[in-house]
Amino acid sequence: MRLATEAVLYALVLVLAAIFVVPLVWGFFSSLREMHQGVSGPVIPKPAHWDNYRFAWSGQFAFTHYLWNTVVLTFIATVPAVLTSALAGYAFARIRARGRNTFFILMLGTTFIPFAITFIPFFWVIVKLNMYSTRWPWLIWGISGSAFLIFLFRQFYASFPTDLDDAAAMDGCGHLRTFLQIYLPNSGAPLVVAFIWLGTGWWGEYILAQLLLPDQLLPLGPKIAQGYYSAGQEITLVPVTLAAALLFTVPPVLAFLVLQKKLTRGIVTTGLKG
Amino acid sequence: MGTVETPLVATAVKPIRRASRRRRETLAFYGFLSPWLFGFIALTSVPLVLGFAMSLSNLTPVNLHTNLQYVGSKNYVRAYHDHEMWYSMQRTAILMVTIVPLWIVTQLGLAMLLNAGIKFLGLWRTLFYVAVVVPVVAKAFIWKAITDQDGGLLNRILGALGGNRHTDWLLEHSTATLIMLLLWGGAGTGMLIFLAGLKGIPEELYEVARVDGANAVRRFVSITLPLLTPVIMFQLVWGLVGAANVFVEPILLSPGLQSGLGSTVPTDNITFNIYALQRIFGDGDFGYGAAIAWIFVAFILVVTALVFLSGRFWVFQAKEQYGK
Repeated sequence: MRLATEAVLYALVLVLAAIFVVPLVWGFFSSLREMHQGVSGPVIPKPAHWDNYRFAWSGQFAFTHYLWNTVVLTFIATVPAVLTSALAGYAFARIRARGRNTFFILMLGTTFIPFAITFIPFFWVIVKLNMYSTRWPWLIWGISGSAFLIFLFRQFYASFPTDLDDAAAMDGCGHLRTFLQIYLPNSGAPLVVAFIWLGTGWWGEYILAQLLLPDQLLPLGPKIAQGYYSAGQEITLVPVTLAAALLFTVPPVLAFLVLQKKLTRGIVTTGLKG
Repeated sequence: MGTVETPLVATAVKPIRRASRRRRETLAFYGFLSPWLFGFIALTSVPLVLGFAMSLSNLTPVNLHTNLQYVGSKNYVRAYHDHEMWYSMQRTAILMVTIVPLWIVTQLGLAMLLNAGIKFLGLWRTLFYVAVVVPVVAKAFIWKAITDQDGGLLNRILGALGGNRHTDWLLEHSTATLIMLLLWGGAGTGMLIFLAGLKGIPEELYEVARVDGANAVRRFVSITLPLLTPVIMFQLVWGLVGAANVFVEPILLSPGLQSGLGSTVPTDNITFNIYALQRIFGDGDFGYGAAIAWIFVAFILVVTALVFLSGRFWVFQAKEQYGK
């Protein structure tokens, strides 16, 4: 009986894992088909057209140019955001001040505001400030941090042992030094969660770049979304477009694979579950 | 910076020192919060106020300098009579009530499977989660390849089972395609959060229940589910807000390859967000678009408030859950 339960369990996990992985495998197979052919043909393409990847890399536009754009935008929107979110999380968890609860509720409230309502006036302001077609908005998003990450850091710091603070205060440390020398170096778990979530999010970001940036500054997301075309522009090269999309997927997946143990441990230890 | 306790301080000076300490703390708090406050003002408060002002005007890119007028509730009245707006709200609502239960059941189911003591836990967890980090553009192209009318994986499977092998998923079943993509790409994070919640349930509770002769179903209903209700509430609210804001995926899943807001999103996939932004970037009708966006805000607020209020009837509240 015990053995039977176990067999059912493993069968179930195997089937579900297959369902979750098959789309990626199908995408990969389809990226190796003859480039004018769409997704028809045998399931496993024969012969495999690896040259689709070469075409995706340099056949229509310089992949590296837009790759660099993606790296820059991801960096300026992610790195400052993680640090300022950690700062704010510390403030909400450890500094007593009038207005703290009000701002905490306001902070959580911002996550309920839909994109459409703030984006239009924000777009207007960006145009007025001559920041349209520049990367400045990404730095602004970066500096302002993310409500979700602030919540994450707050939860983590709230469960931090306070005797560390007392020791720091005894040594004459102010909040800034306490934060930089004690809290930040011990924040491995939430830092990994924050970098993975925000970094992969900005890496794949599509609509803001599409609406705010000229082609020269576009990241790969909107650039690849334009698709690859045959010489006369009349056929969409689906396999090549998929090859480009998969190349674009490699960096975040690698980052996740390297950090995945820390990511899951981070989610457990930060007490994100509310 | 910190307090240096000197035993020589006379009691009379103490209130002053306490006040200055308090002021220092307040200063530190707002100093630490200032980057976020800057964003809160620039990215949220100012746009919200501006957006509301816009919604009361006839603002378009053309009449900004010529004929900008206060029009009162005209845009809201127009929205009330706009059938397409109501239809987009209905589609958003349908998306919310479909995808959120699917998410929660999938996430909880996967988390429970992973928590059942299977081997190679890390491997399975990775396979279930990896879709989350795939960029949305790649997700959309992959699902276009799966749902392709000629030779897509879904049609091949349906054909092998004796069904129709030439279904045009992107056009005829656009919402089903969208839901499949969202379920695949959005289950991983919630799974990890549920897994963390499951690990937080003390094993002794299950042991006691087993001794008392409770079977697996009973243990799930009487222990796991009640103790997970705070997590379920968390996932429910995040899921509803996330589903209401679905926006990029329908654009990228639209048939054809025009990208951006100009793409031909099938009517059934025009969510509230997309409808509002199409009025603005498509028609240049800023005032009307802002009014629709504000109606949307009201809608989300009402829904989440109702969900929060309902929590008092079903969310299990143990003292220690809020003690920390």
